[in-house]
Amino acid sequence: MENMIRYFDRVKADEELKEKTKNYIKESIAANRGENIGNQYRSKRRQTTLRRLSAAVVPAAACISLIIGGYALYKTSVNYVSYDINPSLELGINFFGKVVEAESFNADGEGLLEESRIMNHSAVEAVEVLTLRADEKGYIKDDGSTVIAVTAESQKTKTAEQLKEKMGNSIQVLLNEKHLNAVVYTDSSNLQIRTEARQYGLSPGKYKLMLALHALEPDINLEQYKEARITDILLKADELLKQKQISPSEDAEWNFNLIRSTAEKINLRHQENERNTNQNEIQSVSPASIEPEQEQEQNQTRYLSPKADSSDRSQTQNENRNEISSSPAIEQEQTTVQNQNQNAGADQADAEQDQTQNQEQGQGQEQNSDTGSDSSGSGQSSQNQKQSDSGQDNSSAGNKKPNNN
Amino acid sequence: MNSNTISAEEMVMTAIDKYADMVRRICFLHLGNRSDIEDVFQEVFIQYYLNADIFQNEQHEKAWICRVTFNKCKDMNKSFWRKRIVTLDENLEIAYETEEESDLITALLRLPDKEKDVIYLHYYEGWTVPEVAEILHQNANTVYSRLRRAREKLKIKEEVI
Repeated sequence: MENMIRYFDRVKADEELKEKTKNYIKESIAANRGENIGNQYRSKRRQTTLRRLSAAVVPAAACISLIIGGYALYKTSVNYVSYDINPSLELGINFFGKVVEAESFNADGEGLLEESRIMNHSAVEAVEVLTLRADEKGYIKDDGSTVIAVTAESQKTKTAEQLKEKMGNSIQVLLNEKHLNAVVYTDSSNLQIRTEARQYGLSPGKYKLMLALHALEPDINLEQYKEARITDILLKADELLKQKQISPSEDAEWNFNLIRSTAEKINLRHQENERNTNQNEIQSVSPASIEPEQEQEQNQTRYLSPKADSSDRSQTQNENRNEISSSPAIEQEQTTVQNQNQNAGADQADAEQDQTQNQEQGQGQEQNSDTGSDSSGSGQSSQNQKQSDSGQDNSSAGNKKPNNN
Repeated sequence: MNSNTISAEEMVMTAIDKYADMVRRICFLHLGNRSDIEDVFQEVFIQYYLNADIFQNEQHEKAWICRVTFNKCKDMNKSFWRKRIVTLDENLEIAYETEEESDLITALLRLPDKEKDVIYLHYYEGWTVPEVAEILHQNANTVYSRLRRAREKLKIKEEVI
Protein backbone atom coordinates (compact mmCIF):
# COMPACT_ATOMS: atom_id res chain seq x y z
CA MET A 1 0.00 0.00 0.00
CA GLU A 2 2.84 2.36 0.70
CA ASN A 3 3.78 2.07 -2.90
CA MET A 4 0.42 3.34 -3.90
CA ILE A 5 0.41 6.09 -1.34
CA ARG A 6 3.85 7.14 -2.34
CA TYR A 7 2.81 7.15 -5.95
CA PHE A 8 -0.37 9.07 -5.31
CA ASP A 9 1.57 11.59 -3.29
CA ARG A 10 3.44 12.40 -6.41
CA VAL A 11 0.26 12.88 -8.40
CA LYS A 12 -0.34 16.57 -8.00
CA ALA A 13 -2.23 19.26 -9.76
CA ASP A 14 0.29 21.43 -11.54
CA GLU A 15 0.19 25.16 -11.15
CA GLU A 16 -0.97 25.62 -14.69
CA LEU A 17 -4.07 23.55 -14.05
CA LYS A 18 -4.85 25.47 -10.90
CA GLU A 19 -4.36 28.79 -12.64
CA LYS A 20 -6.57 27.81 -15.50
CA THR A 21 -9.31 26.70 -13.18
CA LYS A 22 -9.06 29.86 -11.12
CA ASN A 23 -9.21 32.02 -14.22
CA TYR A 24 -12.20 30.15 -15.49
CA ILE A 25 -14.03 30.51 -12.20
CA LYS A 26 -13.21 34.22 -12.05
CA GLU A 27 -14.32 34.77 -15.59
CA SER A 28 -17.58 32.99 -15.16
CA ILE A 29 -18.26 34.84 -11.93
CA ALA A 30 -17.40 38.14 -13.59
CA ALA A 31 -19.52 37.32 -16.59
CA ASN A 32 -22.50 36.61 -14.43
CA ARG A 33 -22.00 39.23 -11.73
CA GLY A 34 -25.29 40.50 -10.52
CA GLU A 35 -27.11 37.61 -12.04
CA ASN A 36 -27.87 34.29 -10.59
CA ILE A 37 -25.01 32.25 -11.86
CA GLY A 38 -26.78 29.07 -10.89
CA ASN A 39 -29.64 29.74 -13.25
CA GLN A 40 -27.25 30.71 -15.95
CA TYR A 41 -25.29 27.60 -15.47
CA ARG A 42 -28.33 25.45 -15.37
CA SER A 43 -29.84 27.08 -18.43
CA LYS A 44 -26.61 26.44 -20.26
CA ARG A 45 -26.92 22.85 -19.28
CA ARG A 46 -30.47 22.82 -20.43
CA GLN A 47 -29.32 24.27 -23.71
CA THR A 48 -26.82 21.50 -24.22
CA THR A 49 -29.38 18.88 -23.29
CA LEU A 50 -31.79 20.58 -25.64
CA ARG A 51 -29.20 20.49 -28.35
CA ARG A 52 -28.54 16.86 -27.66
CA LEU A 53 -32.25 16.15 -27.64
CA SER A 54 -32.81 17.99 -30.85
CA ALA A 55 -29.99 16.03 -32.44
CA ALA A 56 -32.11 12.96 -31.85
CA VAL A 57 -35.52 14.51 -32.28
CA VAL A 58 -34.98 16.38 -35.54
CA PRO A 59 -34.05 13.35 -37.66
CA ALA A 60 -36.79 11.36 -36.00
CA ALA A 61 -39.31 14.08 -36.77
CA ALA A 62 -38.04 14.24 -40.32
CA CYS A 63 -38.47 10.50 -40.68
CA ILE A 64 -41.94 10.58 -39.23
CA SER A 65 -43.03 13.48 -41.41
CA LEU A 66 -41.61 11.69 -44.43
CA ILE A 67 -43.56 8.58 -43.56
CA ILE A 68 -46.72 10.54 -42.90
CA GLY A 69 -46.18 12.59 -46.03
CA GLY A 70 -45.60 9.47 -48.07
CA TYR A 71 -48.68 7.88 -46.63
CA ALA A 72 -50.71 10.99 -47.35
CA LEU A 73 -49.39 11.03 -50.89
CA TYR A 74 -50.29 7.39 -51.25
CA LYS A 75 -53.73 7.89 -49.82
CA THR A 76 -54.63 10.94 -51.88
CA SER A 77 -56.58 10.34 -55.00
CA VAL A 78 -55.26 12.18 -58.01
CA ASN A 79 -57.41 10.74 -60.73
CA TYR A 80 -60.81 9.16 -60.61
CA VAL A 81 -62.47 6.49 -62.63
CA SER A 82 -66.20 6.33 -62.67
CA TYR A 83 -67.61 2.92 -63.45
CA ASP A 84 -71.25 2.53 -64.32
CA ILE A 85 -73.42 -0.28 -65.55
CA ASN A 86 -76.31 0.14 -63.36
CA PRO A 87 -74.12 -0.14 -60.32
CA SER A 88 -72.52 3.24 -60.11
CA LEU A 89 -69.07 3.42 -58.63
CA GLU A 90 -66.22 5.77 -58.47
CA LEU A 91 -62.65 4.73 -57.79
CA GLY A 92 -60.02 7.13 -56.58
CA ILE A 93 -56.65 6.47 -58.16
CA ASN A 94 -53.58 7.75 -56.39
CA PHE A 95 -50.34 9.11 -57.75
CA PHE A 96 -49.00 5.59 -58.16
CA GLY A 97 -52.00 4.34 -60.11
CA LYS A 98 -53.46 2.33 -57.24
CA VAL A 99 -57.03 2.36 -56.08
CA VAL A 100 -57.17 4.05 -52.71
CA GLU A 101 -60.77 5.14 -52.60
CA ALA A 102 -63.96 3.53 -53.70
CA GLU A 103 -67.37 5.01 -53.49
CA SER A 104 -70.72 3.75 -54.62
CA PHE A 105 -73.59 5.92 -55.73
CA ASN A 106 -76.42 3.43 -55.54
CA ALA A 107 -77.36 0.22 -53.80
CA ASP A 108 -76.16 -1.96 -56.65
CA GLY A 109 -72.82 -0.26 -56.56
CA GLU A 110 -72.55 -0.80 -52.85
CA GLY A 111 -73.22 -4.49 -53.23
CA LEU A 112 -70.66 -4.72 -55.96
CA LEU A 113 -68.06 -2.89 -53.93
CA GLU A 114 -68.62 -4.99 -50.85
CA GLU A 115 -67.85 -8.17 -52.65
CA SER A 116 -64.86 -6.93 -54.58
CA ARG A 117 -61.44 -6.48 -53.14
CA ILE A 118 -60.00 -3.69 -55.16
CA MET A 119 -58.27 -1.51 -52.62
CA ASN A 120 -54.58 -1.01 -53.33
CA HIS A 121 -54.83 -2.80 -56.61
CA SER A 122 -53.99 -1.06 -59.80
CA ALA A 123 -56.83 0.75 -61.50
CA VAL A 124 -56.88 -1.66 -64.41
CA GLU A 125 -57.05 -4.67 -62.12
CA ALA A 126 -59.80 -3.09 -60.09
CA VAL A 127 -61.92 -2.41 -63.14
CA GLU A 128 -61.43 -5.95 -64.32
CA VAL A 129 -62.40 -7.38 -60.96
CA LEU A 130 -65.47 -5.18 -60.91
CA THR A 131 -66.47 -6.28 -64.37
CA LEU A 132 -66.17 -9.95 -63.44
CA ARG A 133 -68.12 -9.34 -60.26
CA ALA A 134 -70.81 -7.46 -62.16
CA ASP A 135 -71.10 -10.38 -64.52
CA GLU A 136 -71.46 -12.83 -61.65
CA LYS A 137 -74.19 -10.72 -60.14
CA GLY A 138 -76.01 -10.56 -63.43
CA TYR A 139 -75.61 -6.93 -64.25
CA ILE A 140 -74.16 -7.82 -67.61
CA LYS A 141 -76.96 -9.28 -69.66
CA ASP A 142 -76.37 -12.07 -72.10
CA ASP A 143 -77.98 -10.23 -74.95
CA GLY A 144 -75.03 -7.89 -75.09
CA SER A 145 -77.06 -4.74 -74.70
CA THR A 146 -75.31 -3.86 -71.47
CA VAL A 147 -73.09 -0.83 -71.59
CA ILE A 148 -70.14 -0.57 -69.29
CA ALA A 149 -69.37 3.08 -69.02
CA VAL A 150 -65.93 3.97 -67.81
CA THR A 151 -65.19 7.61 -67.34
CA ALA A 152 -61.72 8.76 -66.47
CA GLU A 153 -61.50 12.00 -64.59
CA SER A 154 -58.38 13.96 -64.14
CA GLN A 155 -57.19 17.49 -63.82
CA LYS A 156 -55.19 17.06 -66.97
CA THR A 157 -56.94 16.18 -70.18
CA LYS A 158 -54.02 14.15 -71.37
CA THR A 159 -53.90 12.01 -68.25
CA ALA A 160 -57.63 11.47 -68.42
CA GLU A 161 -57.36 10.39 -72.03
CA GLN A 162 -54.57 7.97 -71.26
CA LEU A 163 -56.44 6.52 -68.34
CA LYS A 164 -59.54 6.20 -70.43
CA GLU A 165 -57.67 4.36 -73.17
CA LYS A 166 -56.09 2.02 -70.68
CA MET A 167 -59.37 1.24 -68.95
CA GLY A 168 -61.30 0.79 -72.16
CA ASN A 169 -58.72 -1.53 -73.63
CA SER A 170 -58.38 -3.66 -70.55
CA ILE A 171 -62.12 -4.13 -70.23
CA GLN A 172 -62.46 -4.92 -73.88
CA VAL A 173 -59.71 -7.50 -73.62
CA LEU A 174 -61.34 -8.98 -70.55
CA LEU A 175 -64.72 -9.16 -72.21
CA ASN A 176 -63.24 -10.90 -75.18
CA GLU A 177 -61.37 -13.33 -72.99
CA LYS A 178 -64.40 -14.24 -70.95
CA HIS A 179 -66.73 -14.19 -73.96
CA LEU A 180 -68.88 -11.61 -72.32
CA ASN A 181 -71.18 -9.64 -74.47
CA ALA A 182 -71.22 -6.01 -73.53
CA VAL A 183 -70.51 -2.64 -74.99
CA VAL A 184 -67.77 -0.56 -73.48
CA TYR A 185 -68.35 3.14 -73.44
CA THR A 186 -65.35 5.19 -72.43
CA ASP A 187 -65.22 8.84 -71.79
CA SER A 188 -63.06 11.30 -70.00
CA SER A 189 -63.92 14.39 -68.10
CA ASN A 190 -62.41 16.95 -65.85
CA LEU A 191 -62.69 17.19 -62.11
CA GLN A 192 -65.20 19.99 -62.30
CA ILE A 193 -67.86 17.67 -63.61
CA ARG A 194 -66.97 15.34 -60.77
CA THR A 195 -67.68 18.01 -58.17
CA GLU A 196 -70.96 18.83 -59.82
CA ALA A 197 -71.94 15.18 -60.04
CA ARG A 198 -71.25 14.81 -56.35
CA GLN A 199 -73.86 17.43 -55.54
CA TYR A 200 -76.47 15.33 -57.25
CA GLY A 201 -75.22 12.10 -55.74
CA LEU A 202 -74.37 10.69 -59.12
CA SER A 203 -71.27 9.12 -60.47
CA PRO A 204 -69.50 11.51 -62.83
CA GLY A 205 -69.84 9.13 -65.76
CA LYS A 206 -73.58 8.99 -65.42
CA TYR A 207 -73.80 12.67 -64.68
CA LYS A 208 -71.99 13.52 -67.85
CA LEU A 209 -74.36 11.42 -69.90
CA MET A 210 -77.29 13.05 -68.20
CA LEU A 211 -75.85 16.44 -68.99
CA ALA A 212 -75.70 15.36 -72.59
CA LEU A 213 -79.32 14.31 -72.38
CA HIS A 214 -80.16 17.65 -70.93
CA ALA A 215 -78.29 19.44 -73.66
CA LEU A 216 -80.32 17.54 -76.20
CA GLU A 217 -83.64 17.96 -74.55
CA PRO A 218 -83.77 20.71 -71.94
CA ASP A 219 -87.24 19.67 -70.78
CA ILE A 220 -86.31 16.12 -70.00
CA ASN A 221 -87.04 14.78 -66.57
CA LEU A 222 -83.61 13.82 -65.39
CA GLU A 223 -84.89 12.37 -62.13
CA GLN A 224 -86.20 9.28 -63.87
CA TYR A 225 -82.77 8.57 -65.31
CA LYS A 226 -80.99 8.73 -62.01
CA GLU A 227 -81.46 5.05 -61.39
CA ALA A 228 -81.51 4.03 -65.03
CA ARG A 229 -78.99 1.78 -66.65
CA ILE A 230 -76.39 3.40 -68.80
CA THR A 231 -77.81 1.47 -71.71
CA ASP A 232 -81.14 3.19 -71.38
CA ILE A 233 -79.60 6.61 -71.07
CA LEU A 234 -77.51 6.05 -74.14
CA LEU A 235 -80.42 4.79 -76.14
CA LYS A 236 -82.52 7.72 -75.09
CA ALA A 237 -79.74 10.09 -76.05
CA ASP A 238 -79.41 8.43 -79.39
CA GLU A 239 -83.11 8.66 -79.97
CA LEU A 240 -83.04 12.34 -79.13
CA LEU A 241 -80.08 12.84 -81.39
CA LYS A 242 -82.02 11.43 -84.26
CA GLN A 243 -85.11 13.38 -83.46
CA LYS A 244 -83.23 16.61 -83.22
CA GLN A 245 -81.22 15.99 -86.32
CA ILE A 246 -78.02 16.94 -84.63
CA SER A 247 -75.09 15.76 -86.56
CA PRO A 248 -72.69 13.90 -84.31
CA SER A 249 -69.81 16.19 -84.93
CA GLU A 250 -71.79 19.28 -84.08
CA ASP A 251 -71.18 19.34 -80.40
CA ALA A 252 -67.91 17.89 -79.37
CA GLU A 253 -68.48 18.66 -75.73
CA TRP A 254 -70.98 15.94 -75.11
CA ASN A 255 -69.37 13.38 -77.28
CA PHE A 256 -72.47 12.78 -79.34
CA ASN A 257 -70.37 10.91 -81.77
CA LEU A 258 -69.43 8.46 -79.12
CA ILE A 259 -72.95 8.21 -77.80
CA ARG A 260 -74.26 7.50 -81.22
CA SER A 261 -71.73 4.89 -82.10
CA THR A 262 -72.24 3.18 -78.76
CA ALA A 263 -75.98 3.24 -79.18
CA GLU A 264 -75.54 1.77 -82.60
CA LYS A 265 -73.45 -0.96 -81.15
CA ILE A 266 -76.16 -1.70 -78.62
CA ASN A 267 -78.73 -1.83 -81.33
CA LEU A 268 -76.53 -4.06 -83.37
CA ARG A 269 -76.25 -6.43 -80.48
CA HIS A 270 -79.98 -6.35 -79.99
CA GLN A 271 -80.49 -7.06 -83.60
CA GLU A 272 -77.95 -9.80 -83.67
CA ASN A 273 -79.44 -11.37 -80.63
CA GLU A 274 -82.94 -11.38 -81.99
CA ARG A 275 -81.81 -12.70 -85.28
CA ASN A 276 -79.90 -15.45 -83.56
CA THR A 277 -82.96 -16.58 -81.70
CA ASN A 278 -85.48 -16.02 -84.42
CA GLN A 279 -83.70 -16.68 -87.64
CA ASN A 280 -81.34 -19.43 -86.90
CA GLU A 281 -81.69 -20.92 -90.32
CA ILE A 282 -80.19 -17.92 -92.06
CA GLN A 283 -76.48 -18.15 -92.01
CA SER A 284 -75.47 -14.66 -92.77
CA VAL A 285 -72.49 -12.67 -91.87
CA SER A 286 -73.13 -11.30 -88.47
CA PRO A 287 -73.31 -7.53 -88.49
CA ALA A 288 -71.58 -7.45 -85.14
CA SER A 289 -68.52 -8.95 -86.71
CA ILE A 290 -68.14 -5.87 -88.80
CA GLU A 291 -65.97 -3.30 -87.18
CA PRO A 292 -68.20 -0.78 -85.40
CA GLU A 293 -66.48 2.23 -86.89
CA GLN A 294 -66.66 0.68 -90.26
CA GLU A 295 -70.29 0.01 -89.74
CA GLN A 296 -70.89 3.57 -88.84
CA GLU A 297 -69.03 4.72 -91.86
CA GLN A 298 -71.08 2.43 -94.00
CA ASN A 299 -74.24 3.84 -92.57
CA GLN A 300 -73.15 7.28 -93.46
CA THR A 301 -71.79 6.52 -96.87
CA ARG A 302 -74.72 4.42 -97.87
CA TYR A 303 -76.97 7.39 -98.25
CA LEU A 304 -74.44 9.33 -100.20
CA SER A 305 -73.60 6.59 -102.63
CA PRO A 306 -75.59 3.45 -102.19
CA LYS A 307 -73.72 1.63 -104.90
CA ALA A 308 -70.45 1.85 -103.06
CA ASP A 309 -71.80 -0.27 -100.30
CA SER A 310 -71.18 -3.58 -101.95
CA SER A 311 -70.42 -5.71 -98.95
CA ASP A 312 -73.58 -4.76 -97.20
CA ARG A 313 -75.48 -5.37 -100.34
CA SER A 314 -74.09 -8.77 -100.93
CA GLN A 315 -74.94 -9.66 -97.42
CA THR A 316 -78.47 -8.53 -97.65
CA GLN A 317 -78.75 -9.95 -101.09
CA ASN A 318 -77.82 -13.20 -99.59
CA GLU A 319 -80.74 -12.97 -97.28
CA ASN A 320 -83.03 -11.82 -99.96
CA ARG A 321 -81.89 -14.33 -102.47
CA ASN A 322 -85.42 -15.55 -103.03
CA GLU A 323 -86.60 -12.20 -104.19
CA ILE A 324 -86.67 -11.20 -107.76
CA SER A 325 -85.74 -7.64 -108.34
CA SER A 326 -87.26 -5.75 -111.23
CA SER A 327 -84.52 -3.21 -111.64
CA PRO A 328 -81.12 -2.65 -110.05
CA ALA A 329 -82.22 0.65 -108.63
CA ILE A 330 -85.23 -0.84 -106.91
CA GLU A 331 -83.18 -3.71 -105.67
CA GLN A 332 -80.81 -1.30 -104.13
CA GLU A 333 -83.53 0.44 -102.29
CA GLN A 334 -85.01 -2.81 -101.22
CA THR A 335 -81.78 -4.05 -99.79
CA THR A 336 -81.25 -0.86 -97.95
CA VAL A 337 -84.63 -1.20 -96.39
CA GLN A 338 -84.00 -4.79 -95.63
CA ASN A 339 -80.78 -3.94 -94.00
CA GLN A 340 -82.60 -1.34 -92.04
CA ASN A 341 -84.98 -3.86 -90.68
CA GLN A 342 -82.23 -6.07 -89.57
CA ASN A 343 -80.30 -3.39 -87.88
CA ALA A 344 -83.37 -2.30 -85.96
CA GLY A 345 -82.85 0.99 -84.17
CA ALA A 346 -79.44 1.77 -85.51
CA ASP A 347 -80.44 2.19 -89.10
CA GLN A 348 -84.15 2.39 -89.01
CA ALA A 349 -84.49 5.89 -87.66
CA ASP A 350 -81.36 7.42 -88.95
CA ALA A 351 -81.68 11.17 -89.23
CA GLU A 352 -80.23 11.33 -92.68
CA GLN A 353 -82.63 8.84 -94.10
CA ASP A 354 -83.60 9.33 -97.64
CA GLN A 355 -87.11 10.28 -98.45
CA THR A 356 -87.45 7.60 -101.07
CA GLN A 357 -86.70 5.05 -98.47
CA ASN A 358 -89.64 6.20 -96.49
CA GLN A 359 -91.78 5.66 -99.50
CA GLU A 360 -90.38 2.20 -99.91
CA GLN A 361 -91.12 1.39 -96.33
CA GLY A 362 -94.33 -0.40 -97.01
CA GLN A 363 -92.70 -2.58 -99.56
CA GLY A 364 -89.91 -3.38 -97.17
CA GLN A 365 -92.33 -4.43 -94.55
CA GLU A 366 -94.04 -6.79 -96.88
CA GLN A 367 -90.80 -8.34 -97.90
CA ASN A 368 -89.82 -8.68 -94.35
CA SER A 369 -92.94 -10.49 -93.37
CA ASP A 370 -92.37 -12.76 -96.33
CA THR A 371 -88.92 -13.72 -95.30
CA GLY A 372 -89.52 -13.78 -91.55
CA SER A 373 -90.32 -17.16 -90.06
CA ASP A 374 -93.59 -17.81 -88.32
CA SER A 375 -92.25 -17.70 -84.85
CA SER A 376 -90.68 -14.36 -85.33
CA GLY A 377 -93.81 -12.79 -86.76
CA SER A 378 -94.89 -10.90 -83.69
CA GLY A 379 -91.49 -9.51 -82.85
CA GLN A 380 -90.85 -8.43 -86.36
CA SER A 381 -94.15 -6.73 -86.84
CA SER A 382 -93.79 -4.70 -83.67
CA GLN A 383 -90.40 -3.72 -84.84
CA ASN A 384 -91.78 -2.69 -88.13
CA GLN A 385 -94.47 -0.75 -86.42
CA LYS A 386 -91.86 1.17 -84.53
CA GLN A 387 -89.96 1.65 -87.67
CA SER A 388 -92.83 3.10 -89.55
CA ASP A 389 -93.48 5.51 -86.69
CA SER A 390 -90.00 6.78 -86.74
CA GLY A 391 -90.10 6.73 -90.48
CA GLN A 392 -92.90 9.20 -90.44
CA ASP A 393 -90.97 11.41 -88.10
CA ASN A 394 -88.18 11.28 -90.48
CA SER A 395 -90.25 12.02 -93.47
CA SER A 396 -91.00 15.44 -92.13
CA ALA A 397 -87.41 15.77 -91.19
CA GLY A 398 -86.34 14.51 -94.55
CA ASN A 399 -88.36 17.20 -96.23
CA LYS A 400 -86.32 19.84 -94.61
CA LYS A 401 -83.14 18.27 -95.61
CA PRO A 402 -82.82 19.57 -99.17
CA ASN A 403 -83.32 23.12 -97.91
CA ASN A 404 -80.34 22.72 -95.70
CA ASN A 405 -78.30 21.55 -98.56
CA MET B 1 -25.10 39.85 -2.28
CA ASN B 2 -21.96 41.53 -3.42
CA SER B 3 -19.94 40.76 -0.31
CA ASN B 4 -21.35 37.28 -0.35
CA THR B 5 -20.15 36.74 -3.91
CA ILE B 6 -16.70 37.94 -3.12
CA SER B 7 -16.42 35.73 -0.11
CA ALA B 8 -17.62 32.79 -2.17
CA GLU B 9 -15.04 33.64 -4.76
CA GLU B 10 -12.33 33.71 -2.17
CA MET B 11 -13.55 30.42 -0.83
CA VAL B 12 -13.26 28.91 -4.26
CA MET B 13 -9.73 30.16 -4.68
CA THR B 14 -8.62 28.69 -1.39
CA ALA B 15 -10.50 25.49 -2.12
CA ILE B 16 -8.71 25.20 -5.46
CA ASP B 17 -5.34 25.50 -3.76
CA LYS B 18 -6.37 23.11 -1.06
CA TYR B 19 -8.14 20.37 -2.99
CA ALA B 20 -6.61 20.58 -6.46
CA ASP B 21 -4.26 17.68 -5.74
CA MET B 22 -7.06 15.47 -4.55
CA VAL B 23 -9.25 16.29 -7.54
CA ARG B 24 -6.28 15.71 -9.78
CA ARG B 25 -5.72 12.27 -8.26
CA ILE B 26 -9.34 11.25 -8.71
CA CYS B 27 -9.11 12.45 -12.26
CA PHE B 28 -5.97 10.42 -12.66
CA LEU B 29 -7.92 7.34 -11.67
CA HIS B 30 -10.68 7.94 -14.16
CA LEU B 31 -9.51 10.10 -17.01
CA GLY B 32 -6.64 9.91 -19.41
CA ASN B 33 -6.94 13.20 -21.15
CA ARG B 34 -5.61 16.58 -20.15
CA SER B 35 -8.48 18.59 -21.56
CA ASP B 36 -11.00 16.35 -19.80
CA ILE B 37 -9.21 16.92 -16.55
CA GLU B 38 -9.41 20.65 -17.09
CA ASP B 39 -13.11 20.38 -17.78
CA VAL B 40 -13.66 18.38 -14.61
CA PHE B 41 -11.70 20.89 -12.60
CA GLN B 42 -13.78 23.74 -13.89
CA GLU B 43 -17.05 21.99 -13.33
CA VAL B 44 -16.17 20.79 -9.86
CA PHE B 45 -15.15 24.21 -8.69
CA ILE B 46 -18.05 25.95 -10.34
CA GLN B 47 -20.27 23.61 -8.38
CA TYR B 48 -18.27 24.43 -5.31
CA TYR B 49 -18.77 28.14 -5.94
CA LEU B 50 -22.51 27.69 -6.34
CA ASN B 51 -22.79 25.68 -3.17
CA ALA B 52 -20.14 27.45 -1.11
CA ASP B 53 -22.52 28.11 1.75
CA ILE B 54 -23.65 24.57 2.45
CA PHE B 55 -20.51 23.16 3.97
CA GLN B 56 -20.71 22.43 7.66
CA ASN B 57 -17.05 21.66 8.24
CA GLU B 58 -13.84 20.85 6.48
CA GLN B 59 -14.49 17.13 6.50
CA HIS B 60 -17.84 17.63 4.89
CA GLU B 61 -16.33 19.96 2.35
CA LYS B 62 -13.68 17.45 1.39
CA ALA B 63 -16.16 14.60 1.14
CA TRP B 64 -18.42 16.77 -0.94
CA ILE B 65 -15.63 17.63 -3.39
CA CYS B 66 -14.69 13.96 -3.63
CA ARG B 67 -18.23 13.00 -4.42
CA VAL B 68 -18.69 15.78 -7.00
CA THR B 69 -15.42 14.88 -8.69
CA PHE B 70 -16.37 11.22 -8.93
CA ASN B 71 -19.68 12.19 -10.48
CA LYS B 72 -18.11 14.59 -12.92
CA CYS B 73 -15.61 11.98 -14.02
CA LYS B 74 -18.40 9.49 -14.51
CA ASP B 75 -20.42 12.02 -16.49
CA MET B 76 -17.40 12.68 -18.62
CA ASN B 77 -16.91 9.00 -19.33
CA LYS B 78 -20.49 8.21 -20.09
CA SER B 79 -21.05 11.05 -22.49
CA PHE B 80 -22.40 10.04 -25.86
CA TRP B 81 -19.43 11.47 -27.66
CA ARG B 82 -16.80 9.80 -25.49
CA LYS B 83 -18.35 6.39 -25.82
CA ARG B 84 -17.93 6.47 -29.54
CA ILE B 85 -14.49 7.89 -30.04
CA VAL B 86 -11.12 6.68 -28.97
CA THR B 87 -9.15 9.50 -27.44
CA LEU B 88 -5.48 9.71 -27.81
CA ASP B 89 -4.62 9.37 -24.18
CA GLU B 90 -1.69 11.48 -23.32
CA ASN B 91 0.93 9.94 -21.18
CA LEU B 92 -0.20 11.47 -17.95
CA GLU B 93 1.41 9.00 -15.59
CA ILE B 94 4.06 10.21 -13.32
CA ALA B 95 7.22 8.27 -13.80
CA TYR B 96 7.30 5.10 -11.73
CA GLU B 97 10.12 4.71 -9.29
CA THR B 98 10.09 0.96 -8.98
CA GLU B 99 8.88 -2.04 -10.92
CA GLU B 100 6.40 -3.01 -8.20
CA GLU B 101 4.97 0.44 -8.13
CA SER B 102 4.40 0.44 -11.86
CA ASP B 103 2.72 -2.98 -11.72
CA LEU B 104 0.50 -1.97 -8.84
CA ILE B 105 -0.66 1.27 -10.38
CA THR B 106 -1.32 -0.36 -13.75
CA ALA B 107 -3.36 -3.06 -12.02
CA LEU B 108 -5.18 -0.46 -9.97
CA LEU B 109 -6.10 1.57 -13.02
CA ARG B 110 -7.50 -1.56 -14.62
CA LEU B 111 -9.93 -2.12 -11.78
CA PRO B 112 -13.59 -1.23 -12.26
CA ASP B 113 -14.44 2.34 -11.29
CA LYS B 114 -16.35 1.31 -8.16
CA GLU B 115 -13.38 -0.63 -6.78
CA LYS B 116 -10.87 2.06 -7.70
CA ASP B 117 -12.93 4.58 -5.76
CA VAL B 118 -13.09 2.58 -2.55
CA ILE B 119 -9.41 1.71 -2.69
CA TYR B 120 -8.51 5.35 -3.17
CA LEU B 121 -10.84 6.73 -0.52
CA HIS B 122 -10.04 4.09 2.03
CA TYR B 123 -6.33 3.59 1.62
CA TYR B 124 -5.13 6.95 0.40
CA GLU B 125 -7.52 9.49 1.85
CA GLY B 126 -7.75 7.41 4.99
CA TRP B 127 -11.48 7.43 5.45
CA THR B 128 -13.06 4.64 7.40
CA VAL B 129 -15.35 2.26 5.64
CA PRO B 130 -18.58 3.84 7.02
CA GLU B 131 -17.33 7.24 5.89
CA VAL B 132 -16.54 5.92 2.44
CA ALA B 133 -19.98 4.35 2.35
CA GLU B 134 -21.52 7.70 3.13
CA ILE B 135 -19.56 9.53 0.46
CA LEU B 136 -20.46 6.95 -2.18
CA HIS B 137 -24.06 6.67 -0.98
CA GLN B 138 -23.59 2.97 -0.56
CA ASN B 139 -24.18 0.44 2.18
CA ALA B 140 -21.10 -0.13 4.34
CA ASN B 141 -21.15 -3.82 3.56
CA THR B 142 -21.10 -3.04 -0.12
CA VAL B 143 -17.98 -1.03 0.44
CA TYR B 144 -16.44 -3.92 2.39
CA SER B 145 -17.08 -6.39 -0.38
CA ARG B 146 -15.80 -4.00 -3.01
CA LEU B 147 -12.65 -3.51 -1.00
CA ARG B 148 -12.25 -7.24 -0.65
CA ARG B 149 -12.76 -7.84 -4.33
CA ALA B 150 -10.31 -5.10 -5.24
CA ARG B 151 -7.75 -6.48 -2.86
CA GLU B 152 -8.10 -9.95 -4.33
CA LYS B 153 -7.36 -8.55 -7.74
CA LEU B 154 -4.35 -6.66 -6.46
CA LYS B 155 -3.30 -9.54 -4.21
CA ILE B 156 -0.07 -10.46 -5.85
CA LYS B 157 1.10 -6.92 -5.55
CA GLU B 158 -0.04 -6.67 -1.99
CA GLU B 159 2.22 -9.52 -1.05
CA VAL B 160 5.02 -7.52 -2.51
CA ILE B 161 3.97 -4.69 -0.28
